[in-house]
Amino acid sequence: MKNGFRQSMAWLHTWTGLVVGWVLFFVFVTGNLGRFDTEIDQWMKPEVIPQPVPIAQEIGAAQQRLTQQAAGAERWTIYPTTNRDTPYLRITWDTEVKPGQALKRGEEFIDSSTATPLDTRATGGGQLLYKMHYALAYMPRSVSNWVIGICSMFMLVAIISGVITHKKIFTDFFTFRPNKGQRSWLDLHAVLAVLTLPFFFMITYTGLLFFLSTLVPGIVGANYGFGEKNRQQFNDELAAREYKLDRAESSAPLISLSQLTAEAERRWGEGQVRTVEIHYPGNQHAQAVVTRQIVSPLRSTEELVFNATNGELIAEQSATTAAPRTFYETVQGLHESLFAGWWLRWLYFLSGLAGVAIIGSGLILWIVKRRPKQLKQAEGPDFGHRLVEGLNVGTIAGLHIAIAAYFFANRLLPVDLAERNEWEVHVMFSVWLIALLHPVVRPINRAWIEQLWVAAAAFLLLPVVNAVTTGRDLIQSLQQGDWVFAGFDLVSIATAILFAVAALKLQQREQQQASAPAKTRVNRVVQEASA
Amino acid sequence: MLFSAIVVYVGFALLALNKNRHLQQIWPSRELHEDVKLALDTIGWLLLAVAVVYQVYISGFGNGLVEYTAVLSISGLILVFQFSYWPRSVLAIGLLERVTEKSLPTK
Repeated sequence: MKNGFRQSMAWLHTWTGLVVGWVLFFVFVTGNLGRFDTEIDQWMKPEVIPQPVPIAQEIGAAQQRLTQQAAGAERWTIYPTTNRDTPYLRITWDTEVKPGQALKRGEEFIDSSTATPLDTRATGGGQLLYKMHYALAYMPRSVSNWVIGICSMFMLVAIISGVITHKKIFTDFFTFRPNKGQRSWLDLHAVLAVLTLPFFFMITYTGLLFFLSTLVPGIVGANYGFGEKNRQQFNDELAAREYKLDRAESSAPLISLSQLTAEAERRWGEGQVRTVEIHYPGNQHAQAVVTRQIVSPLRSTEELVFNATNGELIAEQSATTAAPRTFYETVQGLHESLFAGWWLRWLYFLSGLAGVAIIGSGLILWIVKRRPKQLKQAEGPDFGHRLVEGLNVGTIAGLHIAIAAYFFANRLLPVDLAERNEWEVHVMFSVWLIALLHPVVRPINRAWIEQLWVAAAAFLLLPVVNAVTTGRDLIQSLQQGDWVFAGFDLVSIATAILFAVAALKLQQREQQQASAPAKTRVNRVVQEASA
Repeated sequence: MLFSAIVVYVGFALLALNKNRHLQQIWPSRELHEDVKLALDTIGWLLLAVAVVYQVYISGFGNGLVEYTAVLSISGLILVFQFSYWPRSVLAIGLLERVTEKSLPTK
C-alpha cells in the first residue's frame, strides 16, 4: 500500500486488475461472442437452414414431442421461432428428481414438420461459447458461480479505483498518442475505458447481480428460509404469481396449445408470442403461461395465463410488477441485450471489444511498466514477471487461437464421433493449454509474434475450411444475402487482418531493436578508428 | 440511430477542437479566439443534448437512453482514432478545405 488516497487507489487498481485479468479476458471474449450466439449456432449447424413455419404448426409439433418425451414433467417450455434468439424450434422440460431439490432440465431442438429432434451434428454451438462466460468449463456451477462472482467483484473494484486514479479524465478525453511505448498503452487503456465507461460499468455491475443469490444467499434466506421450495416461493411472490396452483390429485388432458397462442396473437398481434410455458402438463391444475416478445431493456414481459385443460383465461400479467423486480429485470435485460436490434447489437459488440481491449491493454501495461527494470537484472526477469508475460501471450493471443480451434473442430471432427460436442470443447482447451505453455519454451517476443501469426492464419483459414466442408463460401453467401454465414466469414477475415497487423508491428519493432545496438557498435568502432 | 450518431459525432468534434491539443493536430500552431472557443463549447454540448432528446423521442425512454449511450461511446472512439492517425479526416475537414480552397480557421 502507498500513502495518499490516489496512490492507494492506483495500487488497488493495478493488483485487483492483474489478479483476475486473465479470467476476465476470457469472460469478455466469450461473453462478447454471445451477442451473436444464435448466429454462431446456425454456423455450427450448417446442415439445417432455418425456414419460416407458421406458429400453430410449431406449437403443435412441440406439444406432440413433449407429450411423448416428458409427460410427467413439472414444467414444459416451448420457444417458437418468432425472434432472433430462437432460430430453431426449441423445447425444454423440467422434471422433479427428488422432492425439495432443483429440477432437472431436458432440452431438444425440434423439426416442426416431423415433430422429431432436429437431425444435425452434435455441437455445443454458440450457446456453449456464450455459457462459458458465466459457467466457465470443466467445473460445476457451484464452483464457477463463486469464481466468476468474485472476479466480477474485483473487476468492479478495479473500475472504480481506475476512475479515481485517472487524474485527467476531461483533459485527456479524446487523447491517444500512438507509437510512444508505455505512454501509448496507458492512453489506449484510459481512452477506451473512459469512452465506454457506461457500458463497462453496466456490464460488470449487472453481471455481478446475476450471482446475487450465490454471493449473498442470506438476503432471501433470512426471510423465506433456504432450499429450493422456499426460493421458488420467493420467486413466485416477487413475480406476483398469485394465480399459481398446487398439483391436483386428478389428471386431465391438455387442450391444443396452438389455440392459446392464437388467442395471444389476437390480442398482441402476429409474431408477438415469445414462449409458452406449461405447468403440471396432464394435471387437473395445468396452467399455460404465454409470454410476449421483449422490446425494451425490461426483460420481463406481458403474460397471459390460461387454464391449460379448457383454455379459459385466468390472468393477464403486466410487464412491470414489484419495483425491486422491475429494477432487477431491467438491469439483467441491459446485460443480456435480448431487446437489441441489429444496429444496437453491433454497438454492444463493439463496446464489448473495447472491453476486451481495456483488459488486454491493462495486462500488457503491467509488463511494459516493469520491463526496463526487469531486463537490467543480472539474472534476468523474475519468475513472477515471466509468468505474467507468458499468461498474457497465452491468453491475449492464445485464447483466440483456441476459439478458432473450437470452430475448426466443429467442421472437421467426424460427424458420428461419440460425445462429439464435448470433443469440440476438449480441442479448444487443449489448444489453449498448448498456447499457454508455448511461451515457456520460447523467448517472449518470439512467442508473441508466433502466436499472433498462428491466430491470423487460423482465422484466415476458417472461411476456407467452411467453404470446403459445407460448400457455402463467402461469395455465394453474399450473393444469396445469407448474412449469418457471410458475417461469420467477414468477421473472421477482419480478425485475421487485425492479428496479422499486430504481428507485423511486433516484427518491425524487433528488427529495429536488433539493428539499433548494432548501429551504436558501428558508431563506436568508427569513433575509435577516427580517434 | 444514425442521425443521433452524426449529431453526437459533430458535437464531440467541436468539443475536441475547443482544446488546443486537438486543434493543433489538424492545424499546428493555431489558436482560437476565446469567443470562438465559447461558441464551440456551447454548440458542442447543445448537440449532445439534442441527440439524447431526439433518441428518447423516437425510441422511448429505456431504449433511447441505451442507444444514445452506445452511440456516445462508439462515436467518441472513432473520433479519437481519427485524431491520432488521420487528423484531417475529422469532420471531413481536409475534404472541405480542398473544396473551398481555403484554410478553415482564418485568422
